[in-house]
Amino acid sequence: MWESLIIEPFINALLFIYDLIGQNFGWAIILFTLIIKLVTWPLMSKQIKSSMALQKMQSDPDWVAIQKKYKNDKDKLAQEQMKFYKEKGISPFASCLPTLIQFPVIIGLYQSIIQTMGNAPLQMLNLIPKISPWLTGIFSFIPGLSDPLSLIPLNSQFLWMDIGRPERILIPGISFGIPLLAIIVALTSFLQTKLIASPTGDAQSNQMTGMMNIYMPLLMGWFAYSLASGLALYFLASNLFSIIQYAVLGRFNFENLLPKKKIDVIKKGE
Amino acid sequence: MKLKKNISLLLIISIAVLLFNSCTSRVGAATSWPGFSVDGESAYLSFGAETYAINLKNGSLNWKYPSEVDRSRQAYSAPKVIDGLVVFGDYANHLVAADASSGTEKWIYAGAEDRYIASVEVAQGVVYAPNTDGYIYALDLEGDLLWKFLVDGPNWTKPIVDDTYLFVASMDHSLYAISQAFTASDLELAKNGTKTLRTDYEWKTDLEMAIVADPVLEDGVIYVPTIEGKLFAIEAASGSVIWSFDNDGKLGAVWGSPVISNEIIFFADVNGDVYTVEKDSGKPHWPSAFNAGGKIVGGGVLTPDGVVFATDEGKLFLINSEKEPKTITTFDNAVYSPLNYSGDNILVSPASEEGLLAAFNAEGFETWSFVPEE
Repeated sequence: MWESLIIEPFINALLFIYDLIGQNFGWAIILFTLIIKLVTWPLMSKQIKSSMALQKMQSDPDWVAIQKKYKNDKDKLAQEQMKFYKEKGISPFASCLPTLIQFPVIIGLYQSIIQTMGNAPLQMLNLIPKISPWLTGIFSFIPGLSDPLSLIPLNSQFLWMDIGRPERILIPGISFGIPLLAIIVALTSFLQTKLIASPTGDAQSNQMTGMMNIYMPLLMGWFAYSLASGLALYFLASNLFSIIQYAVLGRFNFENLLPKKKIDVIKKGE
Repeated sequence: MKLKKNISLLLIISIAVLLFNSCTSRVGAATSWPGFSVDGESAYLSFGAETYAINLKNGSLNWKYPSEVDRSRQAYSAPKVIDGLVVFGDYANHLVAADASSGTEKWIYAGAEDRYIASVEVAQGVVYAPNTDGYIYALDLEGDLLWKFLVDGPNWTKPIVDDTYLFVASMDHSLYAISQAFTASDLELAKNGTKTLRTDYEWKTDLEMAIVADPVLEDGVIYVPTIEGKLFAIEAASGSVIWSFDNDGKLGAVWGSPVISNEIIFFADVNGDVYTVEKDSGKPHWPSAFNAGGKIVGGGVLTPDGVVFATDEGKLFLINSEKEPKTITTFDNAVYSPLNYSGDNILVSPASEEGLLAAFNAEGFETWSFVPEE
C-alpha cells in the first residue's frame, strides 16, 4: 500500500516534472517540493492559527484562573482544558497534523528520489514497473515530452552535486569534502524556527522552544549530511518555502533574530 | 527539571532518527545481485564486500578476497579471468586484479570516478573496463592506463570484442564501435593534462533507449536488447540496423543477454515471457511467447537439451526450440543473476547469502552448493 499510495505517485510526478522542465532532476525536486507545500497550504494555515491560539490561551485570564483552581487535581484540569478548547474553538491536534503528514512525505520522497535515480541494478529493476502506463499516455499528448522510459538514466547532476549521493565540495588543499548543503540546511532550519517562534508567557514552553531551536536544525543538518543530496535539496527548498509561507501569513517575528536586551532587575527598596 | 526535559527531547529525537534510518536504510542494502563467471575448474563470484573462488567439482571455497572485509567496497560484477589474473570492479571505484589461484591482490586501478557495475572484457592483452562515470578504461595487464573513452552516460554492460573492434553498449542509448588499435594521434589532451583521452570511434548507433543487457556478437552481427523492450541486430562492420523485434510493442524490458542456438535466438523479458526469433530475419520462431510465471532478469544458458532460464520466483526451467518446457528445480529465493553451464551442471546464483552458488544436473538434483562463512 505504501508503494502504490506514496512511492509510485511520487516517482511518476518527479518524472513528469523532470521531463517538463528540460530534464533537470534538481529543479524537479524543488518544484515538487513547492507543489507539496501548496497542496498542504490549507493544513499549514490551520496549524499556524491553531498554534497562535494555543499560545494566546496561555495568557487568557479564564485559563489562568482554571489552572489556579485545579492545580492540585490533574484529572479535573485535563477535563477543564478540553472544555476550554471546545468553547474557544481551539483544535490542539491541528498544530501537529501537518508535521505528522510531513514525515511520510519526507520518507516517501527520499525513497522515490533514490528509486528514480536508479543508480544500481536493483533500483533500476524496481523503478521500471513503477512507471505508470497513464504517464506514458500523458507524455504522448504533450508535445516535446519524451517517452518516460527513454528518460532513463536520469541526469543526476545539479549545480555541483550528484543528486543520488551525499553532497560534498572538494577544495584543493583540503583532504576532506565540505558538506556545504548540509550547513545551509542546518542554517535555514535554524532561521525558520527562530523567525516563526513566538514567545509565550509560559517559561516552560519557551524553554522547550529554545531547545527545539537548537536540536531540530542539528538533526536536519545531520540528515542532509548523511543522505543523498536530493533529500537535502528537498529540506532546503522546504525550509525556504516555509519561511515564505509564514511571511505571507504575517507570522514572522524578525525580532527573534535580534539579540535580546538584558533588563536589569531593580531590587525592591533600591 | 531542565536536565529531564533535555533528556526527554534527546530521546524523542533519537527515536525519530532510528525510525527515519529504518525507513530509508532498505535502500542501503545489497543493490545488485551476484555476478559470477567460470574458468577451468573454478567459478569466481562477487557479491557485496567479498569475491570468492569456488571449486567447481565440489563447491568448496578456494579463496576469498579481500582477507579483511571492507564494507565500503561492494562488488557485483562477474569477474573476468585472463592469464592467471582475476579482474573485477567494485562500487568504491576500484578495478582490482588478483591472482586467480590464491586471491592475492596484484594491482588496483583507482582512476575511475564512479562505480563499476559491468564486467570487464580482455582482448589482446588489454583490459576494457566500462564505468558508470561514462568512461571505458583500457589498461594493460599490469594495471597501467593506456587510454580512456568517454560516452554520454553510465556504462552498465560488458563490452564485446572481435579481432579489430571493441563494441560498447551504453546507458546513453548508443552502441559504439571503437578500434582496438590506436596511435598517439588518437589520444587527445585531457583537462588534467594527461594524454589518455580518446575521442575517435568507428561508428555509433542510437538505439533510443538505455541498454542494460550484455550484447552478443556472432558471425559479424551484434544482438543487443534494450530496456524499452526491443531486440536489435546490428551489423558489426557498419553499425547499421539489420532488423529489430519488439513483438508489436508488447515486449517488456530485457535485462539478460540473448542466447543463440542453431540459428535461433532465445531471450526473455521482465514480464517472464520467453521469446525465440530467427537469427537472420528477426521473425518469431514460435507463434507466441512462453510465459514462465515470474520475472526473468538474468540471461539464460545453453545446454545440450535446450536453454535454461530462472525466474524471480526461484523457478529454474529448460525450454527447447519446440517450446517444450521442463521445470528443473525451484528455490526459495529470487534468481536475478545470469546462469552458467559447466561440466554437465547448471550453475545458479540465487540472490541470497544462504547459498550463493549451486550446481544442478539436468534432472534437478543439486550436485553441490556453496555457502559462504559468516
